[in-house]
Amino acid sequence: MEYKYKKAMVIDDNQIDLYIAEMVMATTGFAEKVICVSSAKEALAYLKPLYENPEELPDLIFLDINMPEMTGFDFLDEYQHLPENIRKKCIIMMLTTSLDENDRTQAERNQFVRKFLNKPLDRDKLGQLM
Amino acid sequence: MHDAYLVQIKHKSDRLMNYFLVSFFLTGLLLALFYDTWLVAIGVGSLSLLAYYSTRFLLPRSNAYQYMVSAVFAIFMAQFIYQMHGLFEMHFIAFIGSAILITYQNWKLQIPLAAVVIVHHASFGYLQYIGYDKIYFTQLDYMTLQTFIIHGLLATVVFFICGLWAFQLKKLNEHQIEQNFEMGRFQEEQLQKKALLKSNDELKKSNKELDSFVYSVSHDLRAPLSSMLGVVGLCEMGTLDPFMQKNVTLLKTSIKKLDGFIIDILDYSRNSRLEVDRQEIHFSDLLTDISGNLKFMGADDQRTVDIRTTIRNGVAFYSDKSRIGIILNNLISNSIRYQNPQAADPYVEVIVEVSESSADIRVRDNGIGIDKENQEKVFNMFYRVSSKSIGSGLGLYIVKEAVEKLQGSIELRSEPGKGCEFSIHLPNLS
Amino acid sequence: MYNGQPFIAHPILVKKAITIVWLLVIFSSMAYIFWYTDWKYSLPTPVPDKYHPVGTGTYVDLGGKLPVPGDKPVFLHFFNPDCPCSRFNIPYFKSLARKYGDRISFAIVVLNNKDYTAKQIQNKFDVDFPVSFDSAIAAECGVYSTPQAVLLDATRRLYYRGNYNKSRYCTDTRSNYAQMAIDSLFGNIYRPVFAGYALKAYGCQLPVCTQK
Repeated sequence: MEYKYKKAMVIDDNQIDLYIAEMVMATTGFAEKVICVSSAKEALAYLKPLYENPEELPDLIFLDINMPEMTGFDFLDEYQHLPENIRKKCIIMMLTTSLDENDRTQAERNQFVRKFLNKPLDRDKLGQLM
Repeated sequence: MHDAYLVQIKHKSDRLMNYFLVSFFLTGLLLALFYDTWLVAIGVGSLSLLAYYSTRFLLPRSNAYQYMVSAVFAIFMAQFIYQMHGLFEMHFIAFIGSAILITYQNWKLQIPLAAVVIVHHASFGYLQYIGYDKIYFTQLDYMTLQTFIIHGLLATVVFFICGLWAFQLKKLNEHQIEQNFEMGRFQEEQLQKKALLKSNDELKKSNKELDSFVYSVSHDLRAPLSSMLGVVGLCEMGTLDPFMQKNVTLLKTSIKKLDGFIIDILDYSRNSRLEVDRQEIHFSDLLTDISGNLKFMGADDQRTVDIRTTIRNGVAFYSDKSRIGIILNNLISNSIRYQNPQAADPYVEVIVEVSESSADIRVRDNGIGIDKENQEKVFNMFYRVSSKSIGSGLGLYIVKEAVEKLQGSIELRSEPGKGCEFSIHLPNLS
Repeated sequence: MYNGQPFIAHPILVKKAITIVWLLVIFSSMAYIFWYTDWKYSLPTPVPDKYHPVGTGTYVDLGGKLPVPGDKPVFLHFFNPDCPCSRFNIPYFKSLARKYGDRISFAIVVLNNKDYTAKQIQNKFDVDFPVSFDSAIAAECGVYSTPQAVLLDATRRLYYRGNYNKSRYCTDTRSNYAQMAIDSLFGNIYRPVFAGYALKAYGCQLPVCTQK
């Protein structure tokens, strides 16, 4: 099966949503490997050591906004302090149920966010990205 | 309030008068000791008091008795002068009386006093002048016309000044009362204003809190729903069994309905509670977003509805972005939901015309339309035309509320089977 | 205004009318009192029953009752402390005495039943004239009321006996009879004819005033 992307990462505190994302990506051939982390902290911990090994960095990162401890935007604040080769490689998509206009504007203003998507992730939405 | 003050002055002055009049009477008795003028002291003195109290008793509501006081002072003066057989200094009683009368704050009370003194002096002086022997008026050498005039002028000056002070006092007190009244009213107004502002602030605060609450609740409700939709989507992808597929579809419909309802509630809360947030509206961007969101909205067995937009911009248009978004979103999604299965090419057309004073938005579709009977009712809360209606019944209600919040107007023209046209007029809040 | 109905007096108007009438009554009474007292004042003292008139020029023998020097004219002031007219007269007499004190011997004759000391009388006038309490002097001079002025020339002959002024409480300088008498005595001019007002004695009766 031909995969669009080699690796994708999903950051979401909700286990079911992680499961959905993983399954959808797998069945639609979107990404060969899907890394699921349930917090932004874990995501950063995963990414940081990979600056030495950029081929292992995910091509896309799907980021939820509403998470305890560290929100999606907190992650973005930390992200900009990461080494450049990481930031260059990863494309970030915001994935959320939020209806708040401010979230959307803030996300779109952020230089690292490519797109703002509404949950749930499905075949059609992924189709738009391919 | 002015009347109460006048009554207060009257009572205070009346009480004072009682003391003064009794003192004058007693003075008369005291003077009688000098030359045994008892008949005059008791007779005239008590007659004077009788005159005063009779007037007060007979005409209690009039202030004639105050004028009587004035005349009585003059009579006492004459009485004292007589009792002392022409002691000129007794004339000062008239000036004392004049000053006492100031308390009534009525300059006119000086008149009887002055009148009695002048008439008395003039007539007696004249009689003496023509040599009428029987009346011994003055103990000075003789009262020349010149002396008479000088005395008259000086007395007039005293009476005038006392009258003036009485008048000024009255005016001053009236002014004071008015000022106090104004001050009181002003303070009350200030207090009211303060209370209003405070309650306003509190309302705003509670509105914000409520909105926050609704937002949080709706978010927490929607999160599991989106998870459900996701999983249902997985089921859909994972089966070819038509039975399972049908079940899944039905599940999806219900979940979407629930989600739509929660969004409607949030829209309603936002619209009614939040202030109008004035910003420039870019209709093309707005409509692009909405189209993007709604493209895949329709029920799976329905065809995709073509969303056409025509925007005629002239001037910058300012209004509340989120509310306009809600309005357009609801109308367009309605058009998609209620498309006509018979129509060859289902579409919804949005035409926007912006002018300096307003924006006119028309949302036209070729859906199933709304019959005359229901056209007024569709804007009601929770009104659904038929059991086949998919929506929550809140959509058009929210649209109407939002339009009204933006001080605009909305009109519906429709023919069953032909389609609907919503015409919205919004003022430009530039 | 009343459309043919009979005029119905408004209660307030009635009250006002009553008040005005009542006040007029009061003021008339006052005027009457003043007039009455004045009339009383203008009445002369009634002549006592056994009055013995003493004409001018009569020799008045003081008989050592009053220690007055013999060469000057004598002015006798008949005074009763209980008499209001006498009291009123005090300042005037004082001024007279001050004016002529060096040329005339002044003396005061007190006609009163009560006990006054000479010192008390002198204090009233603030003078040191001789004071007598002998009412016989009054009879000798033909005085039957107070206050009266009696002027005896240097030979003790009665020059003037009469009132000080036109009426009890009058101080008109044009009718200062006593003063005129003194002036004429010294001026040696023709003695003025004193009529009615001067000679018809008024004032308090002796010794106790019943009619003031």
